[in-house]
Amino acid sequence: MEDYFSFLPDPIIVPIISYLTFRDAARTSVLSQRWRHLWRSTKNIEFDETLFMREVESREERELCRRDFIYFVRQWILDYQEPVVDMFRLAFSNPKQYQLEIENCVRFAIAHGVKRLDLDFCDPAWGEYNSDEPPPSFALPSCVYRNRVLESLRLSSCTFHVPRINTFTALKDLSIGWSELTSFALSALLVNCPLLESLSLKKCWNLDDPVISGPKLKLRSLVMDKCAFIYRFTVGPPLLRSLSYSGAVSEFVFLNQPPVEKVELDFGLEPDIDYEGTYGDVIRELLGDLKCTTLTVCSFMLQHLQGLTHLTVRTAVHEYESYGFAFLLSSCRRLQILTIEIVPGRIFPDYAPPSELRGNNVFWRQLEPVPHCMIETLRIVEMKGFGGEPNELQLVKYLLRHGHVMGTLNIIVKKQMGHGDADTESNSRLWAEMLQYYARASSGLQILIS
Amino acid sequence: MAFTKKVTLKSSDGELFIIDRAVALQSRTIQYVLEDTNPVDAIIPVPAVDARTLSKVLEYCKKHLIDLNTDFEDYSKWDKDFVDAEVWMLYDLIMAADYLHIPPLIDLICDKIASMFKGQTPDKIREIFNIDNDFSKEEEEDFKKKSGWAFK
Repeated sequence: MEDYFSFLPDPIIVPIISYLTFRDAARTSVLSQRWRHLWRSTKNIEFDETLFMREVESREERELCRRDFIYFVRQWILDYQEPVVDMFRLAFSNPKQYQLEIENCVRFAIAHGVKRLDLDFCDPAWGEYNSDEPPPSFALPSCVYRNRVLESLRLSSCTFHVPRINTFTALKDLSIGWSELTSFALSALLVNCPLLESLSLKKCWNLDDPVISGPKLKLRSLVMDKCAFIYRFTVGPPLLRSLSYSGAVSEFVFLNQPPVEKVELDFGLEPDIDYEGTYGDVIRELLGDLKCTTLTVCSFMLQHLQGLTHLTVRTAVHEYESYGFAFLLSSCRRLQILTIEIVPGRIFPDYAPPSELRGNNVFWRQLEPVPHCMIETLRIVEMKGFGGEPNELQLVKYLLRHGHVMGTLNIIVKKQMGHGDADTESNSRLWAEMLQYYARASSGLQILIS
Repeated sequence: MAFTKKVTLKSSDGELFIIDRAVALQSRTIQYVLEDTNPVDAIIPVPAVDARTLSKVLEYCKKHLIDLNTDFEDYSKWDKDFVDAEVWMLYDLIMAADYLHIPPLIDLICDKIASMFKGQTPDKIREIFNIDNDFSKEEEEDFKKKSGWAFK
């Protein structure tokens, strides 16, 4: 058997090494004589202090390790022969006393036309769940501003001056962590990075009311991770495909938002117990406004869904939606008000129900057990946009038959816009009036039609 | 029916491949040949690549031409299957892709070969790629010690 690499010239092996992590690249140096120094041409450079730390040490020993690390970095950069670097990462905590070395590193990366720059000065000892503001640790070297080739920039515990960032014309991926970032600075950033596709903010503070919106935004992925504290989060990038939020419960505002593919919500950081009982309503509104195809929720949300008193469902009342609808009804054990807004929905032809659907009629008739809220708490049902369709009638029939404490059923008949549709509207009204004659569980029920 | 221009490539072992010009143009090497000489019905020799490898490379070029509008995910799945091959095949492919100068194919194979290094010990890597260890035991241990951070 022959050595496959013996036929490959160095210029082909170097790109292969550049696909390895820096550590794996360094490990190739012991393969054979030929590989001894090849890795020193890698275009993927990652200097990570933690790799140089030995276990259980005194402060003095730690400082020695850090000095070794800085020495290694300095020497490595001096020996580097290639003209271009793709990716440069430096992870080094408490960099203050090595200011010059760090600036040298960053200048080296920028001078080599780095496309992805990652400067991480945060201390691993800072807890993710600790809400104290860590000290701002390092100022972004000035050579990084005014850059037209950077495609990805990740800054952790690295302060920067937003008004100076005005020419990141190639930047697609921006990640900021452990830093102060006001909503105002964020808005300015979004304007100054016109090609941005991915934005991630982690442990940033003073964001208050971030607005991530604008018709020209190219943003596809947005991550908001444990930022303290967000009161109102406005989201509206037209191309957004994935949204991930982790933090305290905050108000969400969705501006003209087309459906997002993936949404992840984690309110695990919420410090308070829901004394005033408002979280349920915040979550209700959020769910009402949310348009997504994949939703990930957290345990906080599941526990507060229970406390939800008003649920709005926007639905096409298609039989494919029945399972989801029934799930929500049985999850909201204290539901008092149910609003059903009938809207045209996108129905997926390849939807596979959890078990065989034999028509809406059969589904609602056989649904067992009756959701707790229908027996104990559900007082008001509103149905907006009622058109008298069979599926709508079956749903109302079900609610009437099992809504033991229902006081009001409010039917708002679908308005017809065009000419000559008056007939359809009066037809819908007729169907609504027929509801009076359906069997009902609550004796005090009033049916209003408008 | 629109008339599509054809190009004929000849592999190192003499096999002829008649393909659409647009497919061939994904190779910058062939692109230069066509721009320089603009041969009509001429046969372009590809002396560095044998028929088996060339047909595989052309399969890649065709796929990536037709599916320019395909979803990114579909694309990456196809690519992944494409490079799911024996080491010797990857080696032939990367040499061919380098000779024909098809950067996305080079990247794809580099990524694949690199993934075979991941998390492996030096011994295992030597075994996968038949790399002959020409260090003495002492030398190897010494190097490992010097780069201790990478071998923790």
